[in-house]
Amino acid sequence: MASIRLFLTFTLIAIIVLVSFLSSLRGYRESMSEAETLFDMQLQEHAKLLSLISPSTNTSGAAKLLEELVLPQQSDLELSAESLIAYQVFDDQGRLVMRSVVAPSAAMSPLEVGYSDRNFSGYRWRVLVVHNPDAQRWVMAAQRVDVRYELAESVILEAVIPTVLSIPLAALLIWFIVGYGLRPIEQLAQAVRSREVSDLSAVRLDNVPRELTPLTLSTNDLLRRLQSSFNREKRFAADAAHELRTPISILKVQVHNLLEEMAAPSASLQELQLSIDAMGHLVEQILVLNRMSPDQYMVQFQPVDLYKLAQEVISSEYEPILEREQHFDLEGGSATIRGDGTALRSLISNLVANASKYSPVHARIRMRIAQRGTRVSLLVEDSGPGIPLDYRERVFDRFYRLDGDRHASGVGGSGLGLAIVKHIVEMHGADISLSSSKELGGLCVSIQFDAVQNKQDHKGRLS
Amino acid sequence: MTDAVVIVLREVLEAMLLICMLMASSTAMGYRFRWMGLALLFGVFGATAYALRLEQISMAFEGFGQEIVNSTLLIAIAVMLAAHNYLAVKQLYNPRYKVPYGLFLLVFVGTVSMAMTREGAEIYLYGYSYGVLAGNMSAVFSGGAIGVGIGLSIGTFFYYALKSLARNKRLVTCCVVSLILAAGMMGQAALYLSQADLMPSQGALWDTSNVFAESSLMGELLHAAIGYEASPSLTQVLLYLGSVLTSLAAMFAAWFLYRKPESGEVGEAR
Repeated sequence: MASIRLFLTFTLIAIIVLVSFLSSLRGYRESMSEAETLFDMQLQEHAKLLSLISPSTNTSGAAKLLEELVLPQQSDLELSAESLIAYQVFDDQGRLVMRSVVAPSAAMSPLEVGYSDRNFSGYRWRVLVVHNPDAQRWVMAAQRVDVRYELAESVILEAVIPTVLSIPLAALLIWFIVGYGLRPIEQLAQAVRSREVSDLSAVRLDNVPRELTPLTLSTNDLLRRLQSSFNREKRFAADAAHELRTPISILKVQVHNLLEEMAAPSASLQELQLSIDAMGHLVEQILVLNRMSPDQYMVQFQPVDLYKLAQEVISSEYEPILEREQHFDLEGGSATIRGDGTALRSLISNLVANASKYSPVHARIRMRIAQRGTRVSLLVEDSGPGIPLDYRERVFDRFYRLDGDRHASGVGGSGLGLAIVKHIVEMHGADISLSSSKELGGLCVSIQFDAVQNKQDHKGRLS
Repeated sequence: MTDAVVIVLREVLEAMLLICMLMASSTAMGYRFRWMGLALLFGVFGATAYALRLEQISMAFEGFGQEIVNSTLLIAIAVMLAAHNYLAVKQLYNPRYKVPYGLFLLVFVGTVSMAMTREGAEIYLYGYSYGVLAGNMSAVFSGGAIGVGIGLSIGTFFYYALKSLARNKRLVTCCVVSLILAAGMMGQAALYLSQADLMPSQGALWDTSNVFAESSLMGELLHAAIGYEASPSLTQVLLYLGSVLTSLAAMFAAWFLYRKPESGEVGEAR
C-alpha cells in the first residue's frame, strides 16, 4: 500500500459506486416493471370505458372511427400519435363496430380476454381484450411496446442520471475528507522529520486523535529511553575520563621521579612512561569529544578566520613536526567562516597531529586554506601511507584504528582523532571527505565550510 | 439502459482485469506506474483510430477485416501475456534479475494499448450507433457510466487484493490470472477466425446456456474473467487449451533456466 490516502479514496469511491450503481440498476428494473403494470392498468381503464360506450350496431358494414365520434380534429390531441392507444370494438358476431385511427381494420388480437403481445402495423403492441356481455361488445386496446418502454425509461432515467453525475462530486469530497482525516499522521511525521539529529525530546502534538495516541506514546517512550541511554553512556565516559585524570597525573609524576632517581633508566620504565602518556592523551580526547556533543555545546558561533587560527595552532604544536624533521607548508589566505574557535582549534590540531603522526620522518605535510565563492576549503595533505579506500568511512568511528593496535606506523593513538574531527565538521554543517593526495601521494583530508558572505552573516546566531 | 450496462461492463471489466493485473505485476517487478500514461495514450489513440476507420477495416479482406483485426489483436495480447509470464517467473527465480525497462515497456504498454484499442473501439461504436444515431443518448450515457463505474470499482478491488499479497505470491497470482485471460482471448480469437472462414466452423462441443446464458450478467462477467462461452466449438476449446499450455511452457522454461541449481524452491521475498 503505497499511499493510505489513495487506497482509502479509491476503495471508498469504488464501494459507493458499486452500491449506488447496483441499487440504481435494481431500482431501474423494478421501476420498469412497475411502469409496465401502470401502462397495463391504463389500457384496462381505457378498455372498460370504451366498453360502456354503446354505439348503434354496425349494420352498414363500415366501422366508425373513434376520433370522429369523440374529437373533432386530430390537432386537438395533445399526445403524439405514437403514444396513442389503438382501439377496436367488435360486436358479438365479430364485426368491427368502431376503431381508432391508428388501429388497423383487421382484428389486433383474437377474441380472447386478457393481455397479449402482438405484431401489426410494423410494430410490436401490447393488446388487452375485454368482453362486455351486457353490451355484447368486445373491446381491444393496444399500445406500442417501444413507446411504452421509451416513456417509462425517460421517466426513470431522470432519477438515475443524478446518481451517476453525483459520483465525481462524491469522489472529490472523499479525496479532501480522507486527506483531512489523515492530516494528524502527516503532522506526526513532520514533527519527527523536522527534528535536529540530537533532539530526543518528546513529540508534542495538539489534539492527537485516539487512533494515533498509542503511536505517539510509543514514539515518545522510545525517544525517552534513547535519551536516557545516551545520557548514561555520555555521563559514564565523561565521569570515567574525568576521574582518571588525577591518578594519571600522579602516575606521570611518579614515573618522572623514578626516571630522575635512576641513573640508568630501564627500557621497561620508558615504555611505562609512553603508555601513561598515551593513556592521558586518550582520556583528554574522550573529554574533548564529550564537550563537543551538541547538547553540551550549544554555543553562539562567531566569525573565525580559519587561516589565522591555523597559523596559531601550528605554531603552538610545531614541536612534534620538528622532532620528526617533517616539512610543513601552510598555503592560502584569510578565509572567514562562522564557527566556534575552540572547536575549530581542536579540529586543526587533530588534523595536523594525525598527518604528522602517521607520516614518516622527513615527510611533507601541506595545509591549504582558500575561499572559492561561497565555500571555504581546508585541505590537509601528507606524503604518508594514506588510508585504503575501503577503510575511509570506518576511520571516523570512535576508537577505530587502522589495523587495530598493530598500526603500521607503530605510533600510539586513541582512535578518537578523526571521530572528533567529524563531530566538529558536522557541528559546523560542513562536509568532509578523504582521498589520496595527487601531489604528495598520502592522505588528503578535505573539509568544505560555508563562507561568511556579508555583514549580516557576521551576526552570531545559535547553531 | 440495461443493454448499455451489460455491453460496456463486459468490455471495461475485460480491460480492467488485464490492466489491474499488469499494474500489480509491475509493482512486484519494481516499476512504478509511469508506463500507464504511455499505455493510456496509445490505447485511446488506437481505439479512436480503429473506431473511425471501422468501415474501411470491415471492408478489407473480403469483408472480414474486422474479424481479422480483432483476432490479430487478441492473439498478440495473448502472446504478450505469455511473455509477461516468462519474465515474471524469470524474475521470481532470479532475485538479481530485473526486467530491462525497454522490454518491460514493450510488453506492458503493448498489452494494455492493444486491449484498450479493441475494447475502447467496441464501446465507442456501441455508444455512437445506439446513443447518437438511434437517439438514446441518455439511456446509453447512464448505462455506459454505470457499466464503467462498476467495471472500474471491481478493478480497484482486484488491484488492491493483488497488491495485498507478498511480492512472490503476487507475481505467481498475476501469472495465473494472465494465463486465464490469455486463454479467454485465444478462445475469442478462434471465434473471429471461424467467422472469417480462416478456421473450420464446427458445432458446439457442449451447451451450458441453460446454466449461465452468455447474454446474462453472470455470463458476461464470466466471459470477461475466464473467457466463458456457453457453447464453444472444438477449435475454441483447442485454442483455449493451447494458450494455457503455451503460457505454462513459457513459465516452465523460465523456471528451468533460472531456478537456483541447489533447490527448486521459490526464492524469498526481498
